[in-house]
Amino acid sequence: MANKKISELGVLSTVDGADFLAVVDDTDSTTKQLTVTNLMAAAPVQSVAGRDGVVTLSNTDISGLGTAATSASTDFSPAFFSTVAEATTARTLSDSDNGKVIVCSNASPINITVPDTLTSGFSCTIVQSGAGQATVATSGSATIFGYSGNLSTAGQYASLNIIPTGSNAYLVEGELGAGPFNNNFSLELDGIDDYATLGTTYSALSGNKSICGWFYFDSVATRTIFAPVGASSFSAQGWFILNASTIRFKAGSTLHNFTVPTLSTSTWYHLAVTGDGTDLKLYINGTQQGGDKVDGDWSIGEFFRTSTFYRFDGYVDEIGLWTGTTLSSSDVSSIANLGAASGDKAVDLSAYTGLTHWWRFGDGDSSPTVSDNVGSNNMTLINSPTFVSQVP
Amino acid sequence: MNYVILPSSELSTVDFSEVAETSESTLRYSLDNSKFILKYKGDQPSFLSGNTEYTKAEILPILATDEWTPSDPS
Repeated sequence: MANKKISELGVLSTVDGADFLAVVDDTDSTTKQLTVTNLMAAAPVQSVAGRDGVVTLSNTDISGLGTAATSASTDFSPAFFSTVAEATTARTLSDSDNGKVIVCSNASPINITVPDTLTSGFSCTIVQSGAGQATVATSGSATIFGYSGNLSTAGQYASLNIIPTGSNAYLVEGELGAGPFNNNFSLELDGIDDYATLGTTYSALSGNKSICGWFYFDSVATRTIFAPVGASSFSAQGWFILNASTIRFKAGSTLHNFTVPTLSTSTWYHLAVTGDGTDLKLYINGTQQGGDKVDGDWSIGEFFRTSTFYRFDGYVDEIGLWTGTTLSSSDVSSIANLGAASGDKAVDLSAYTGLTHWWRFGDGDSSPTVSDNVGSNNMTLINSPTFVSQVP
Repeated sequence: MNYVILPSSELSTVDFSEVAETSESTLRYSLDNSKFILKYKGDQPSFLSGNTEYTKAEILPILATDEWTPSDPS
């Protein structure tokens, strides 16, 4: 710009760093010169919003990022992400976990809970550094989904990301696997008119076969475990509690009475029956009771009633049926006793070869349907028996 | 849950939207089919007004009688 008097200057549409700005010193009324570059260098930076061009940050005084990052190549961690060591088996996420990497080191499974109180947009990464599988669940109104229903890390050194997809809605992605076996529900039957049906009767189950489940009796009077559809009398029954010291099982045309140690109310029992076409065996809590009987064909169609009576009164859980396999005594003992001492006694029946049907009663079910977790014979609940959190 | 016992002659009056049972075919009947049971949560449905209401503990002994259950099959 050529030399001009101040009165000749107009407004500059664009400003160059070398342009002079004229200022008047009010102490002596003299006019002085200041370049745009001089001014910008001296002025504090307050905002770059709406400004174009390269922004260069000084490493001497950056605030708002926590501890300052002093080198992009050597010291990202304090400013841009941080890890959280989690050594316990349960963690409920909070806003302070946002953007962080939570490293789970426990050898036992860890449950990560996503509450409905997190600020919208929350995200974090879960790393399974220990042997314990990390599983994500929600509480309150929060929801979370994972591909193929998987919400757990696949194994040691796997990771998953929790991604917000809406208000209190999340998705997990990453190295996902099926979660650890959990049993959180059983079925409560009132002993009055509750029952369940397969719709049709499995008749003539012959040769190798086994059935087992967990049972909690509110009454040890005559109660049905299963019977054919449309059984009209006790003689058609399949498997039932005759009284506190007798369990009856029909094989072929014969009703066998197994004498057993006295059954108590308000106690979980694991009951199993195996047949190989020749020998019929009954097990209670993994131990054979009542001696060998003669096996024959089984007929299964309805559960927890015979005709209109002998309704089961209590809780039922984790019934498995093998229609081609005779469980060994060691298998039955393992199923009955491998789980925890109480509260988590049930085990993953799919680990036992030959399982063809598995009804879990509340875990993954939506009433009135009890899903067959192995086969395709779902059970239908009749007259509103309920899933409850009382489990073996 | 509360329970009532009704004579089978009143089957046509049942409003299945107000009870836990779903249909006539799944009801529990007495052995001679002259009576049946209904159950519900909370207040007694209006169509059952005037009928005796039982708790589970009260109705189980009734159902154990030979009117509802065959004698011990042993």
